[in-house]
Amino acid sequence: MTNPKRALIVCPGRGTYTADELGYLNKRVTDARCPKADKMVQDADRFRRQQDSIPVSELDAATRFSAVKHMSGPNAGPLIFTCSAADFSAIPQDRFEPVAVCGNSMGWYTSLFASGAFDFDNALRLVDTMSKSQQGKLVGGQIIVPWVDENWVPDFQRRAELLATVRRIDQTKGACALSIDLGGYLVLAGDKAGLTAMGEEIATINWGGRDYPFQLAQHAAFHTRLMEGASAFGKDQLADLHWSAPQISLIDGAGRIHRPLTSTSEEIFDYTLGEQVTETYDFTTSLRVGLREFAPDVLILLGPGTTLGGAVGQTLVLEGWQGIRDKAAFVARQKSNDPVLLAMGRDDQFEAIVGT
Amino acid sequence: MAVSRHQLVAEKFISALKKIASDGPVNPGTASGISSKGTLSPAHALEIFESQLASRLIDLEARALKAREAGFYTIGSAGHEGNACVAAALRPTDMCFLHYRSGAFMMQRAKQVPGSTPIFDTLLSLSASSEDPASGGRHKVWGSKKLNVPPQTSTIGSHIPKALGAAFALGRWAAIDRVEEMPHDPEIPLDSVIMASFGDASLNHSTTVGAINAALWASHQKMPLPLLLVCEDNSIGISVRTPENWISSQYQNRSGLGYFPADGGDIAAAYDTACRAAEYVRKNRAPAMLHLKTIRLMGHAGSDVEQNYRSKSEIEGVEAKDPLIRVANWLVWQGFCSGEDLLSLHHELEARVQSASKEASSRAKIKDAKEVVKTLIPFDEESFKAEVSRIVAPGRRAEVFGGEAKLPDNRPRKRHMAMLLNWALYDLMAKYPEMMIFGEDVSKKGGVYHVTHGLVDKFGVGRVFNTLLDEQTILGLAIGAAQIGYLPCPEIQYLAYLVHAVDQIRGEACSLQFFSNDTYRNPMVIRVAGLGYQRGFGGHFHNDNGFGFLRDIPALVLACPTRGDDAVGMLRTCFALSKSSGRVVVFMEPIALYMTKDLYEEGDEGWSFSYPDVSEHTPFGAVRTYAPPNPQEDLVIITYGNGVRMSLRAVRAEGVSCRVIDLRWLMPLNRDAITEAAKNCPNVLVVDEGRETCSISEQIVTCIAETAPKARVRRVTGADSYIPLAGAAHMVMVSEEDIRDGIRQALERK
Repeated sequence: MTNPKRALIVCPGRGTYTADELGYLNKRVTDARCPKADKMVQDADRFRRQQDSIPVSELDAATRFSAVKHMSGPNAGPLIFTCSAADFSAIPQDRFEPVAVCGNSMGWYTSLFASGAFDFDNALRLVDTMSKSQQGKLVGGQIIVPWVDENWVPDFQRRAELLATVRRIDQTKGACALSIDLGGYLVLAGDKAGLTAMGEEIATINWGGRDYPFQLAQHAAFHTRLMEGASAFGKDQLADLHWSAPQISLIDGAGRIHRPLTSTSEEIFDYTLGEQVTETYDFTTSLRVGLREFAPDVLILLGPGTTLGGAVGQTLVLEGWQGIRDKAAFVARQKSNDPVLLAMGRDDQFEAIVGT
Repeated sequence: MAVSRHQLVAEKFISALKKIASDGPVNPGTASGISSKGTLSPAHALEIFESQLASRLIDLEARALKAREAGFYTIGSAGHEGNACVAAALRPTDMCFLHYRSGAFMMQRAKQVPGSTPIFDTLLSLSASSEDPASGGRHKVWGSKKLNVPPQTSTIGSHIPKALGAAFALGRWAAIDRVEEMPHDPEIPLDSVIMASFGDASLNHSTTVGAINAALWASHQKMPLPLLLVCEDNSIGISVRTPENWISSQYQNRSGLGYFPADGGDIAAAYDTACRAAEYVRKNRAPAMLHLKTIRLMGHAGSDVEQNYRSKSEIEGVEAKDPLIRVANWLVWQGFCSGEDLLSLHHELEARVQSASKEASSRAKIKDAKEVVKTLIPFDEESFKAEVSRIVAPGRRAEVFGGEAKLPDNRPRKRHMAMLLNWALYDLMAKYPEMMIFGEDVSKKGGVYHVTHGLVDKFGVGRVFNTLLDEQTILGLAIGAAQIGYLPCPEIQYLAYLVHAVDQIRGEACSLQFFSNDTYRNPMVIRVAGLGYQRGFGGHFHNDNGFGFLRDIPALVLACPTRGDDAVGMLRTCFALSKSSGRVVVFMEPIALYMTKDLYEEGDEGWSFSYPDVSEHTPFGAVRTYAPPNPQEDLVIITYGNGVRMSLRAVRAEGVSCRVIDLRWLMPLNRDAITEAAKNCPNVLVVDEGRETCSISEQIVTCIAETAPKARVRRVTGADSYIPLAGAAHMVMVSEEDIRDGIRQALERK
């Protein structure tokens, strides 16, 4: 028997459950190779009903995708988390050894579950609470803009200029900041005035038929100081969350590694409900630390969806990981028999992971 | 096949872990001398152990890389892993100048700065990848800008003077007059500690001893000096044993030096002692030595066969004290984890290191010589131009010079070089609030030749001060101060004294941009009085005409003005160059020309000049050509320093009208100007006041041979001799008569 592949687990954030993902959970529940999925969905549904929220199975079973229903934070967070958790539980540990876990934005909460720091119930409560932490009011918003070109060639000058623009607007016109450093993209966030100014000052570019920057639907100014209220809300509501030492190393959004033997609950709580909520989430650095310090054979991107794959690929290119130095090399590697990134949201790659 | 010593060390460690896991830990109080629980929390203790283990596994991987011919450095940290406790006791903003056995220290410090990737970075460095962030693959160094660790190379004690300098400069920041005008904050917080680590053998090196002496000199006078010296004492320097109790007997009772002994294998005591030592330095702003007992495992380096000078039983005795085994046993004894936990940790870390090593060793290597030298000689023309043309507000200048009327601009009388240089320093001190002038006798005395006269009264003792009599300390201070954020202007009293300390320029200052991949710079302008012709006064050490010891230092700029107005313009250029590009400059001022006023006749004031307008500067590298109205085309004289004035006089006395070229900038040499002159003239006379051997005329002649081979070149040089006293001095130095002879021979006149 061969050694299991050393795998870096990547947990997706908001915006990954789209119309194409309707029925995603059901697929897992009905797949015999995902024996834990059914209980997870039942637990999630029970919790949601207790909260007078739509059960995740009901959201998943909808015949039509509704942006209002499926993309609103209080629904999208728990739904995405349950899908990701179900995916994680389906990874056969005899073939893939998770060596570290990281995530993007809300994916941090999923990482806490995957690492073993929170069980499913506690992690779900964390996700649900933080999804509601703005208490019905969306504070500010996020826009996304690439700083690499369509072939993922980095343009460091453009990046520096974008960040300088954000700093200038923040000092003069309205609150704004770098929300997420996301591979070849920058997710910028701000209040209304900040968003308006960014819209005016950041030139539109067309990428693959889509104009950037564009505003992310139903997203708030996550990972900025505008979220201080959400942080306080979380600390107030979640003080009694149950925590265990993680069994797998966790890499947070600052690139800090939380290790199984040395993590403390204070450290995890302080980060999760403090810095993580109000400071930039540096997904690129988080992934880079995962690559460099854990040197995985493969990366597994949990579902739903695969949209984070682009940012992962761009980060691999920026890092030159395993000789992947441009988009073409990444695409070629993905088409080979030994793809470096396996996205569980893709049926073929799900099969490659879970097997028969 | 014989099992190598490092494999045995690795196997013994695994066996010990398994034994701890199966049989339980032994009482550390009796078995390994670990004293108590100390103040370490379980998580913190385990974190430190993890750093230590990662360091050990990287040491082992370095040997494996070497065996695969993919690694190029095997001096390891095995046995010294106690230094992780020192990192844990310090803040990540405390600047550290590290010994080469600092793997565990770096692993631990990186944990204090999120986003760090110390395992991978070290492996890149071991495999000499150009992606190595510390040095770009140029050397295996412990360094990181983010972690506040300026890189050192094969350090013996050469880094201690600059650590001293950084500590002194940091301590002095608050004492600076008009500190609010500093263009930036210091590189690190004002309450930081500067740390330097070194081995027990290195403590005997004169560089280390000199730096510690300087630290005590400052401490004795209650000058703030937050310097933590960490002596990692493994009792042996390659094969030479350190006498028992040598370090403690020399340093435990030194006046002005805190002394904190600790056993590096006793994690609890080492951490607590390191905390106490750091606290002592931070609180008292006074130097201290942490004497950390360590052992050396796996020999000095991979190539060192320890069995040749240590008996097997001695080697095994040392290996039995493996600090990792002691710490592992202690962790389990304390109930912080189980033996199985540590076995799992070892397994996990080993897999990570080995896997990362494969990736790191596949990364790009330096492609060509161009890439090697890419960071050696930075020069950003745009920022240089902006810097050199930036001028101080007129009001500030008037204030500095003591009123509008006293501005040099309003003093039309022509002056000698010493006076003009003195004014230039006033202007530069006003322009650069971060500039510091220091050296022997530069304060109240104003320097031996009064070039720094009055500056201390105007700018205060924070920025103009005397040092003790040690050139190594002066230059170390400059390097350290530059890394804190100053623009240092050290003065070395005589050229011959620079020789004492040249390694601080050669091995340290000029190499910093090279070995740090240009992440660190230490800009400075070193003023030195040099060359001969002091009318028989002073003998060799005040008239040394040899500067060959500077000429092969990569990246060094060597400027040599010969007249006052050039001196001012060139000094301005040097500071702008240093400020904008981090260059290290030696500004060699010909002593004999400091007070020279006349050129041909007494009282003609032909060598006195007006102070150049503050907006002017001398272009970097540009020569000055003295050309009569209708110069003859059959001879050109190329010279520098005293040779310029002597050549002008000789030309006049000989009745010829040739051009005389003053090189002004000796490093880098302006090859284009030399070529141009030689191409257009059949005879070139090189007047070099240096010695016949290894003087700059050799390089000039080589240049002409390579680029203008048709020109006939002659040299007039000094003799290969030291400079004697009195009239005999002139017998071995170039004279005007020698130059006249040279002219006649060149023109084939009798």
